[in-house]
Formats: sequence, structure tokens, C-alpha cells
Amino acid sequence: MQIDFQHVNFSYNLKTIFRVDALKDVNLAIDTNEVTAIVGKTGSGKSTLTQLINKLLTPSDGAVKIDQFINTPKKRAHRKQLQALRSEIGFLFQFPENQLFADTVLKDVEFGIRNFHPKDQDYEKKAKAALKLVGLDESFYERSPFDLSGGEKKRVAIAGVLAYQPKVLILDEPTAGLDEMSKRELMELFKKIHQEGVGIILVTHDMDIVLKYASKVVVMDDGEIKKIGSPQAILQNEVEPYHLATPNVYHFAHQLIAQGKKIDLNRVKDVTTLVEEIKRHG
Amino acid sequence: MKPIIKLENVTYSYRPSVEVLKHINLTINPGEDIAIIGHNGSGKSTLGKLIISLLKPRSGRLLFNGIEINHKNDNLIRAKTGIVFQNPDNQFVGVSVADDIAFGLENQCVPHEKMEEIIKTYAEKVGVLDLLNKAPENLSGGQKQRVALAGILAMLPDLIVFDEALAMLDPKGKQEISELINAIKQEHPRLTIIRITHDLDEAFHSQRVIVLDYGEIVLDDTPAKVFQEEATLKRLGLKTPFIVELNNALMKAGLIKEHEYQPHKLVEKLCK
Ligand SMILES: Nc1ncnc2c1ncn2[C@@H]1O[C@H](COP(=O)(O)OP(=O)(O)OP(=O)(O)O)[C@@H](O)[C@H]1O
Ligand SMILES: Nc1ncnc2c1ncn2[C@@H]1O[C@H](COP(=O)(O)OP(=O)(O)OP(=O)(O)O)[C@@H](O)[C@H]1O
Ligand SMILES: [Mg+2]
Ligand SMILES: [Mg+2]
Repeated sequence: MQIDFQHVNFSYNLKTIFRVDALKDVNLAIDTNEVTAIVGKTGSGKSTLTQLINKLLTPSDGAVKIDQFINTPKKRAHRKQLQALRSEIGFLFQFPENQLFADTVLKDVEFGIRNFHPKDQDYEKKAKAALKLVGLDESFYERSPFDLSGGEKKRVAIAGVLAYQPKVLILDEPTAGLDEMSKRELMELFKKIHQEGVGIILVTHDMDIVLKYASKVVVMDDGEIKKIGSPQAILQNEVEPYHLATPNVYHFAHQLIAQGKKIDLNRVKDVTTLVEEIKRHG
Repeated sequence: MKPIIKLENVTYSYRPSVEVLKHINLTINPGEDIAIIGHNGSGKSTLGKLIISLLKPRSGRLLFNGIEINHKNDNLIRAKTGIVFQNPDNQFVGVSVADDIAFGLENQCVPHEKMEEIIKTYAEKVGVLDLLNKAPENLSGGQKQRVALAGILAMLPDLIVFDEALAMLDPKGKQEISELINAIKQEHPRLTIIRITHDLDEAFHSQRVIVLDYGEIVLDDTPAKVFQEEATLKRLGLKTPFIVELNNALMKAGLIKEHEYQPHKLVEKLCK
């Protein structure tokens, strides 16, 4: 799927004294065959940008084209079109509390399927399968999604998006609040889903994840896109001005290079590839 | 030294017959800097809330500065402790950011003429000075977390629980706020800090690390000792810090024969 931002401006509270210009003339083409990571400092506009893709927000000016659909202030969308768009673009909110609503975990996860695919009789089975994918067993089915730990809530929210099998997943800080093991398992799960043809757009502050999983990185600052490139190109250069960090493996590799060791950073993505690269040069 | 917090054989359950904390014994001295780690659902947030008496033990007891806390006298501990919640939305009470920071100060009966100055000072320290007039719900995730931090830090309580309070900050912001907390701690050595976190590097820099597993304390020691317990950490679903993981991979590839956890020494070894 192709997503195109064309001269997009977005302001909160546009015609009031509380106006905030959150996006300024954003132009961006996202090909969902790539895993796109959106990074940048606090308040730079990442969550705002992603919410334009499934029309949770409408641009103040300009247009976002999502395949056949156009999100622009000039054109009102019909309920049906909107429903179709949202069934294809799954959205995970930054805080799971903004997503959960039903009185049981199972109903919460079933909701997306029943809402977007009302003819699907397999909703219960699919919801249970999604919960299993995120590591929640049957003891969670009848519990309230609000009476859970932070990481458990996050998993229910993720299961709720996976369950109705959207074509694109927009994940706003999917690993925040997860323990290390789950973090890894879930990223591997997203990678697998992507290989099966689902688009992934990721907002994250975790540069180790960006390096390992993204194929394209969009750097935002103060409502503008400052850089677009491969994770290697972005993270091998100066990251400080954008409040990013150098991934651990690069940090260590830089020290080896400074001592005269040959390392091709473009081959380094994680600990395994770093060690392979050290070995390759003897 | 008299402990600031003592939990004696504390058990907690939200639902009948499901104990989420089991027989917790824990002594915390004034000025300690403690990290609590553990898998999702292991009981970290629950323990944090019990420590400051937001939740009451089902059995066992909580002593604050040697005094047993119950429903009648929990204002004693309420006035002297604070928590930054995992989700900052649970923190906000004011209609504006300034109001919100003021709320805690009002509870402490800080005189009004002093209040404005304190609010400004702490808003500036956490970098939200330009947001004072905004409604907390209209902020970005990271901005919310900063505001929640300002509200608690401004009160300067004797003990603060940070429940994943830095999780939504950008990498630079994370570092800045960590440094700010350390600076405040330097200035007020008796301030007791409890950091609940999934960030093992953050835990690595505290003085004491407590590891929870299904409601029980399984490790309680210095970070150096705790992070040597690789097998245990792995079993609990916790990653080993980067340098440990790298060592293991290098050993496996036959590139080093012994562990070397000092990065610069490891670099030297590999460059020989
Ligand atoms: N509902 C809202 N009303 C008014 N202003 C808002 C609202 N939501 C966000 N903003 C403002 O818009 C700007 C961009 O916010 P956004 O949430 O997109 O940032 P972000 O890049 O996702 O940041 P973070 O990493 O902290 O989550 C910020 O200045 C923020 O204060
Ligand atoms: N309000 C609640 N009602 C019922 N059970 C709860 C409630 N809050 C938490 N629990 C349960 O208590 C256990 C401990 O939860 P707690 O929130 O303390 O975990 P945690 O270690 O903070 O996890 P996380 O890393 O996911 O935040 C979990 O099994 C959780 O499902
Ligand atoms: Mg955001
Ligand atoms: Mg928690």
C-alpha cells in the first residue's frame, strides 16, 4: 500500500488562542512494503502524524492519500469509506488505556472483528488466537481490561489490533512498558507478520529496535520532517540534535574502529551481526 | 538508622484467592536509591503502591519511620511520599499544567506567594515551562510524563516512587531527567528513591536492585551482584545488559576466552 502526505499542515485548536501547529508542510511517501520507523523528540509530532493515516485526525490543510482514500479537509468521508479505511489500518495508541473499553478482555479483543467484519462467525476463535500471540492465556478472558498491570493492558491492546487482521499496523510505542522478553517476542512477531505482507509503521524511542527492524527512518523535529533514510544512514550520523541515541552495537563498534579494527557498520544490526563482523575481519 | 519503610510479611490480592504479592519482607533506609525490576505482572506497581500506602496489605504490616500505618493514620505517610504513575493520565487533577503542579503544593500548605516560584522552577527543570497554561490531556506522551514528574519533584517528599516514569521520553530526555533526579538527590541526600523500570541500564545505575517474580522477591542486592545472576534473569524473562550479552556471543564465537565486562578493556582485547 502507498501512503502519501502532500503539503500537510495540522494544528490543534485551529481557530482559538490555544492553537498548536503540530505539523508543518509535511511531505512524505510511505511504501508499506518497508518497515517505517518514525522517530524524534518529545512533542515533535509523531503521534499526530500517524493519526492522520487512519483519519483519527483530519489535516488542517493539504492531503494524505491512503491507497484510494483521501484524507483532506476539502472532502467529507462517508461513514462506509471511513469504516473500510479503519478496518485496513490498525492503530495502536501510545497509552493502552486510550484503546481499551469493554468489560472483559475477550470482548475487547473481539470488538474489532465484530465491528469491521460483522459476517465473520469466527470472532471468538480469532480473538483467542490473538491473545495467545501476545502471551495472554485463558485466565485473562473474563477479566476487566482495566484491572491489569501496565504491560498486560498493552498486550490486550495489541491483541485487539492484530485480531481483525488489518493490512497495515500503525504502532505508537508498541514496546513501552513491556518486559525485555516480551519486547523481543513481539518485535519478532511484527517482523513475521510483515513478511507475510502486512505493512508496519512504528513510532519508537528505542534505537536498538529501529536499527534491527526498520528499513526506513523518518526523523521529526518541531512538526517538520528533518531527515529520511535507512536506519544505518540516520544512526551512523549525528543523532544528538534530534534527541535520538546511538544504538548500543554502534556505540561499541565505534570504539573498535577507533582502535583500528575494520568494521563495516552497514552489516551491523544487533549483537549477532556485530560478532559476525568482528569475526569476518579476523 | 531507622528505616523509612518496613514491610513485614505483607501479602496483597486484588481478587479473592489470587495473591499478587506473597510474604514480602522489605526494609528501606532513608536515602536509598532502589530499582525494582521484574516481568509484566510480577507485582512491581502493586508493591510501589503498598510502600506509600495507596494500597493496604491484606495481611502483614507497613511501618513508616517506625510507626505502623493503618486506615486512620495514613495521612502521615501520604504527606511525605509521592508516586509518578505508570500512565500519567492517572496523575492529572488540574485543568492546566500549572494547576496540576500546584495541587500537590497546596496539599502541603505551601503559601501562595511562594507557589508560583516553585512551579516555575520545577517546570523549567523538567522542560515544560512553555506548557504551563495547557490542559494536561492535550499534551504529547512525553510531555505528559514530564509534567507528572514536575508535580512530584516540586513537592520534595521524603520518598518518591517512579513507576516507569521515563518510559515515554526520548533518549536525550531520559538522560536529562535521570540527571535531574540524581542532582536533586545529591542536594537532598535523605531523599529515598524507588525506580520501577524495564530499562536495565537505569536499574544498573541505582544502588540496590530488587527483582520480583510472580509476587515474590527473588533477588535483592547491588546491581553488580544481581546482573551476574544471568541464569536467573534469563529464566525470569529479563534481558542481560548489552555488555553481558555481547560477552556471551563473543565467547560462543570463540573470539574471547574469558568474560570482560569493562567495555574499553573488551575493545583492547578484541583489537590485539
Ligand atoms: N489534543 C491536543 N490538543 C492540543 N495540542 C496537542 C494535542 N495533542 C498533542 N498536542 C501538541 O502537538 C504537538 C505534537 O504532539 P504529538 O503528540 O504528535 O508529539 P509526539 O511526537 O508524539 O511526542 P511524544 O514522543 O512525546 O509522544 C505537541 O506540542 C503537543 O503538545
Ligand atoms: N486493579 C487490579 N485488579 C485486579 N488485578 C490486578 C489489578 N492491577 C494489577 N492486577 C494484577 O496483579 C498482578 C501484579 O500487577 P502489577 O501491576 O503490580 O504488575 P507490574 O509488575 O507492575 O507489571 P507491569 O510491568 O506490566 O506494569 C498482575 O497479575 C495483574 O494482572
Ligand atoms: Mg506520541
Ligand atoms: Mg506496573
